[in-house]
Amino acid sequence: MRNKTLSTVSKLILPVLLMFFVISILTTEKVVAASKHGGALIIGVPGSQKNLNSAIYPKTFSGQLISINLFDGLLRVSKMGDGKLTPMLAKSWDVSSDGKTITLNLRDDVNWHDGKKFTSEDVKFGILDICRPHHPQGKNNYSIVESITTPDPYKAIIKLSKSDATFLTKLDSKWCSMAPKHILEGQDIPNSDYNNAPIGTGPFKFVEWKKGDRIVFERNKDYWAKSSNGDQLPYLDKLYFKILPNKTSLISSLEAGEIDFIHSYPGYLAGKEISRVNDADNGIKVHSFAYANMAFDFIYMNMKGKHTGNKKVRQAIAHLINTDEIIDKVFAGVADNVRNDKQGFISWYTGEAPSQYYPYNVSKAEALLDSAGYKKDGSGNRFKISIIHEQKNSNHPKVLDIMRSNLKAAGIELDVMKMDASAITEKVHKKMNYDMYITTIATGPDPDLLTKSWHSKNIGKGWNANSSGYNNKKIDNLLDNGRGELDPVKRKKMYVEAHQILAEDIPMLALYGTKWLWTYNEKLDGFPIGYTFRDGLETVNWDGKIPSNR
Amino acid sequence: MNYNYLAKRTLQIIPVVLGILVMSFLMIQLAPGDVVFMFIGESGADPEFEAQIRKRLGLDKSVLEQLILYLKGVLTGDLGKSFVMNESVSKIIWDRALPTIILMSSSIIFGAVFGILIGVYAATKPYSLRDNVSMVIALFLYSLPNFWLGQMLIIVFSVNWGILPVSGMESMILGDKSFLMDRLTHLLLPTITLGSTLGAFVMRFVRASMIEALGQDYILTAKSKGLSDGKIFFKHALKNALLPVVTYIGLRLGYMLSGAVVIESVFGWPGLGLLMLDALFERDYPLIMGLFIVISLSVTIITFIIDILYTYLDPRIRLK
Repeated sequence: MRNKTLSTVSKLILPVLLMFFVISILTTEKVVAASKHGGALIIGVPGSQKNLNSAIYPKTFSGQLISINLFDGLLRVSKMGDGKLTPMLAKSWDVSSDGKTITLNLRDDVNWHDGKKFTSEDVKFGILDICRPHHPQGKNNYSIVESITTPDPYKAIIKLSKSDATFLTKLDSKWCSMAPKHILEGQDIPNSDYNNAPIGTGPFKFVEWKKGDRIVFERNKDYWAKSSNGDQLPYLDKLYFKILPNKTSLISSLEAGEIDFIHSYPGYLAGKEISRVNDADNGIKVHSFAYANMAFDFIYMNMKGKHTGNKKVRQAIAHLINTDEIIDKVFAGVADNVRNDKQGFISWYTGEAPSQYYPYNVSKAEALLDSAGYKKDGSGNRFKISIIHEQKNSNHPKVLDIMRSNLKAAGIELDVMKMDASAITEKVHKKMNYDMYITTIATGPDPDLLTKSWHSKNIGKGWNANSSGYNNKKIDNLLDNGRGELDPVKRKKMYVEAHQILAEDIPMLALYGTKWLWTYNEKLDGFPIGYTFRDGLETVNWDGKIPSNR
Repeated sequence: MNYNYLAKRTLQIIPVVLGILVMSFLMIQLAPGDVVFMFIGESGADPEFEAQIRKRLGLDKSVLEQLILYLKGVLTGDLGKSFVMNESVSKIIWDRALPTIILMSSSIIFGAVFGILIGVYAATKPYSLRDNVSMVIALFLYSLPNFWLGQMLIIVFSVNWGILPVSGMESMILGDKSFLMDRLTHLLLPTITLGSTLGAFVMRFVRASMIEALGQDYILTAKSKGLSDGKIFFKHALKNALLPVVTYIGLRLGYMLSGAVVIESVFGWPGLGLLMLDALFERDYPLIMGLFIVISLSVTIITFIIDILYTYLDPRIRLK
């Protein structure tokens, strides 16, 4: 009996060992070729995609990262807050002295993925027939366009009804990626099949979309752009976007070598995960970058709220929140404090911080609350207040845990409520029936974006608009004039003043600047500084060390 | 076969599914929030754009009107068009059904085989060490949350040992691996994760009903006829002991479908569970409703099939 068992076991051992051997051979990486070109990149994306037409679809973080590889904008806005514009499909442009006529000189070597030439007719069609009516921000961005004329195939002249210092930035692919007239003319755009398999001018071409599983693009061999050292772009032969909704699985897949790159989205990687991934010696590193248009975490304060309507209460809450503690405990130090004498939330543009920044100071906060009439009761409590956060962000619950104990120190009880995005739209942004709400807002690359959250015309106008109900004519004027002012020196002055007023009134309290985290295989190269989710992956390459399974 | 009974049961499915439909349609409306947000995204939009979207989706009509329109569509076989995916609901569901069917089938087979084998093994010597160890394993397996077990298996087998894939149904780049082998390795961890709870329950069921069956007179008769242990266990006792197990597996299917929602998200398995999760987060009403119809229909139909299966397993049962 025993011998029989032994022989069965020994019969099993050999095939099992063989299996392990075969698997280990299959998974071993072989280094091939030394050119930067070639190879595939597998990118993990957290959510399923709905639509690949970046000209009309909401700019969600991962969605934009995918579709932008198929398209180009007319120009590109620098992400460093210097307002620099880089040529893309428009190789140069002239703005008339009154700021109302913009002449775009287009590249003549650009083809659509189906081989047809890209011309000025596509520019006219893209802005007037696609982006203006079908992009969620289209009306805001292009309502001042009076006409677009096309004197020749590579020249487009845009006439505006009034001057707008920000108009050129609206030609970035973030707001309007070019769409082919010869395919889309006369189509029902929102329902077109084109949205599932688009044709663009971008560095990669669409190949396949298996819903819920993968999206595949291949290299556009005729792409017009070259790298700074003259290499034909893009470098990679194929891009695979693998859909992985579970955050833990996303990181596990990267560590197991199934994917090569996870693109950042707010709150996807907790502070302690960053150090764990970086300490594990497996060739995977988290890279963090901060940009001028980088996201800041803000707390909206309801100006009509029972307690937050009182300026002294808002200022007291600001004094109570220990931002340093939050950055240290939640973000493992990977975040920028914007509450000090050096940095505010638009210092990247103004170059200076507002004089008031409410450093952590419990006794000052208590004095403010006392003078506002909120005395402590017998058990040391003053009042109860609530804060809403979106369920998708995994850092906010931890931030609010710290904030809860911060506020408790001065007798304020904090009630934390978790909601999904559409419930927040309803409760916070439309009905404005809330006390406080924490969210991430990008303030750049042009400070004009502040108009959305602080101008009184945007009260109750939807997602992350002026939902604190802040109504200050002086701010309205500064923001309006800032948009129309073409002189950069005068313009900057206006925003310095606005920054100061907003810091004092605190309709929204800026806490810290979160950093963009890209987690990727160390063999990869070419992620340029200035790269954010608004740009494609054309410069990314394996630096001649393509793994055999890519 | 009693055809009257079959007709009666088939007709019963209709009010059940219709009831589920109306209830879920109304319940979705109760959830706070606004589906239009999903079309606007982080940059926001002006009210005119919102109104335009609302009109396109038919959300400008009253809830009652929407419900009537929807029911009309369903009765003519039209499940509508997804709000966000630019495709018909039936096509989307059809495309995503196969992965779930594969995962569910393999999990049921794994759970049943694993449960029956250990259950029988435990029942051969009740209250012995082997029985106690088996029951501790069962207790352990059905107390574990599925998603946690899934994560642990991923960390051990995929991240640390690197012998099984983390996620998906197939490799992005197949390379020189064989197609079948690639599919099987991807199926292994999700199957174990989803099938383990079923396995644990089946184990306990089989053990209990085996012990009961082994105490029956016909077993004594079989023994006295000099039949081998194997024949007695598998041919005589197990056949009778399996009856409640079949019912149980049938009843468990609904739970397993809900388990698939979690497991598919952990393993990035592109099936109906993942689709359901997306549809819920995006407030894609037509898709959510379509999934409700498909899932409730399949659970009702499977229960129906099991009832019929019963008559074959136990000739004493007659359908009335």
